[in-house]
Amino acid sequence: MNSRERILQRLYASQASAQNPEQTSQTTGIQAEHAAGWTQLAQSEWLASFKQNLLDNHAEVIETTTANWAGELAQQLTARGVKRLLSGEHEQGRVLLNALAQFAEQHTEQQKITPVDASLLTEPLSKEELFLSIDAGFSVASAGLAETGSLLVETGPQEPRALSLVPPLNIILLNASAITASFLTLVQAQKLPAHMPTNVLLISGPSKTADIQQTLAYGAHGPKELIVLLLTDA
Amino acid sequence: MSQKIASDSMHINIEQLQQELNVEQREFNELQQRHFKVRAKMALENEALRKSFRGASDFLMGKRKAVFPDESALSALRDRGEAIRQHSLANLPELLERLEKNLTANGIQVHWAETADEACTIIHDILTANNARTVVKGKSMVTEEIELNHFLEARGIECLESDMGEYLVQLAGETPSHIIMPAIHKNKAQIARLMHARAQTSDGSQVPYTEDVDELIGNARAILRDKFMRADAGISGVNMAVANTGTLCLVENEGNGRMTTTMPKLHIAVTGIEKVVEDFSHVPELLTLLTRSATGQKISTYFNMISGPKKAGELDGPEQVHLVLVDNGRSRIFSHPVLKPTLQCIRCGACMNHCPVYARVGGHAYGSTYPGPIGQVVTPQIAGLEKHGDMLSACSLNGACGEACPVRIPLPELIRELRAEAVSPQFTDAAAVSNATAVQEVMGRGAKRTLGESLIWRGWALTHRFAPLYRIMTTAMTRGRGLFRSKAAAALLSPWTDSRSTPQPARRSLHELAKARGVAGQYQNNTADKRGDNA
Repeated sequence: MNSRERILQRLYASQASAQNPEQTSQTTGIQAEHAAGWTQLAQSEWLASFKQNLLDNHAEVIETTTANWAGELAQQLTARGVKRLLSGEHEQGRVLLNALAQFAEQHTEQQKITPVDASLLTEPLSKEELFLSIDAGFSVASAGLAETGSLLVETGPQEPRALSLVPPLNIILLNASAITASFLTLVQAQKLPAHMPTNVLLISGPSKTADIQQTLAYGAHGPKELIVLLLTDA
Repeated sequence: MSQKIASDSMHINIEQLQQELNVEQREFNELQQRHFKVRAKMALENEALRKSFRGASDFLMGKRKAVFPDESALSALRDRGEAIRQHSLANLPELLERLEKNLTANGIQVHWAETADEACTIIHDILTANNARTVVKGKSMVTEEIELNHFLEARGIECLESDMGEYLVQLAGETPSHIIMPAIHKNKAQIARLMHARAQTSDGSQVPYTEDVDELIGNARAILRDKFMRADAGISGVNMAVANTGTLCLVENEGNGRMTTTMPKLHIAVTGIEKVVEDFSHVPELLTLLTRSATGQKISTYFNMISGPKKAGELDGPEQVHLVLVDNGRSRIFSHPVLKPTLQCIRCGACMNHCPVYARVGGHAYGSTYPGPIGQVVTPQIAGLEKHGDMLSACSLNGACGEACPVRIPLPELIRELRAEAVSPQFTDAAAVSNATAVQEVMGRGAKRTLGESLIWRGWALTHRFAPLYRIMTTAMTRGRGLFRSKAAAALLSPWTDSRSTPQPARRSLHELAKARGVAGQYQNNTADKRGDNA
């Protein structure tokens, strides 16, 4: 018998001799009550809670629209002096790249403006390049959680894991209509994918730590800053 | 302030500082070998340490309280947490098999380890099979429990802790003093000295002396990011493993957990067998209980759900993911009718944050991987009452831990049960054995049983069962009360009176006083003097 069989055998034997049958409590009631408390709130209240929680966790929230976000972001990134930005290979990434190019073109006469070198990640990047030369990563979230101010990011071929982790600045785009009450309501509504992607994340702020004398410091290992672009009309 | 420190730093003699730290490390190691009582005493005498723990406990209790404003909502959530964990345990073997099946289908390789040594060997084998020489570790208490770092380092594999607190503790050559905040016992100045003396940047130079927390974190960040970039393998813990989807969930704020599980081409997750939950619908409430109870956060910065290695077409992520399921005494705990709720634990640390004893002696005094109330319950069960039974005395049974526990583990009851186990005779007679069937006795049951003490307790029980004996005893105590001040009594009672005042029997017993007031025999009518007698 190997370890697996011995462990399982011991567990099954104890289970069989346990005198107490499983306590099934009124758990579904509690779940339902909790969910109801949040779902009764209007979408606008969800939005307010979502924003406030992100602000409390040191993130920046920019409310904008489908037509304007890319232009606004292009301006922000240029003003911040971001040199290199990476995005996954998705539609929103292409829109941002166009906006950045357009912004640079419109401001060519202006001195002191360095255009952002932005590209879509289509093949693996060396770790050295990723860690040492990328300033910003652009990701798209598929849902937002009001109760905690969290962004659901499903990674995959179009959404590499490292973009929301390694660059010091992380930008995440979210449609306001994708904001739901809480993680619990999201799971209950079965909005998590049936077949989980290899890596799904809830992101609720920039990386932080309080391991030194309970003093909060941002940018522990991951992004030092998080910008959330909230599309209020989408 | 920071200006002054910066200029002072010019005068720090690095060699002298390194020597000082070596001495401190040696002292730490020596103290960890001593008896629990010695460690507790030393801790109580260390003012800086007491200040660190008092500060941290107050901070964490305050944060938790603020994030649970509604008592009844908290109570309902704790009910739910308890129910979920009990449901998981009631179905533990089935859920483990289901977890294995679904993880395997997702491409995650599952390994089972009965003992700490077997777990270390499995991990070492995976590393060598993949030619991995450098490892970065995410935070994982179970790898502390199985002492993985020593095992791998003895075999020439570099094993670097990457959680900020764990990194500092490893740099100091110590062990974590808290399961959530490992370096809670160190203050800023101590960490500044440590980083300056021992940390090396990737180009091999010394880290400048600073007591600024942002700078300290920035220096550690630079060192560790370089390691994340180069490490051959990442080893992490697991907060919850979801059986139905084959998903490993990790809770963290820093991003080192994501780095560890994302950047190296090999990821090995290690978990105790009790961390499994059946369904994803059980995850959100446990998550909210965990982060709120641990650090008073509504949610952690990252909640990382891993359901497989990098798939075709994906640009990053590990090529291999392994899960090592560690028993190491857990199936024995599972068999115990009273102690089984030990396994409900979600490792939030709220019990230690609320423990008045922990707040005073700190984590290292316990001399075990898991300190505080949950440590007092877990450690004697996995490492034996002979070695770790003494720490059970570090409890006043005040009940704060049980009230804080998000999954309602009856910690005071479990501590009391283990105290009883420690002095109970081992299962010998046929009745106890047949009664027990699958129950395995706690490792080291009866280890603290002594003839003298068991005779005293028998006498005590006898005295309280027979009225004449009881009367003789109270008469002897009251009439002979002067003897308690004698030298002989002082010597006899010293284990108790060293840190407490000497008990002082009253001049006359309660019975005598009651009789004198004419209330004897009227107790049942509840007419005894309401003011009571504090003779």
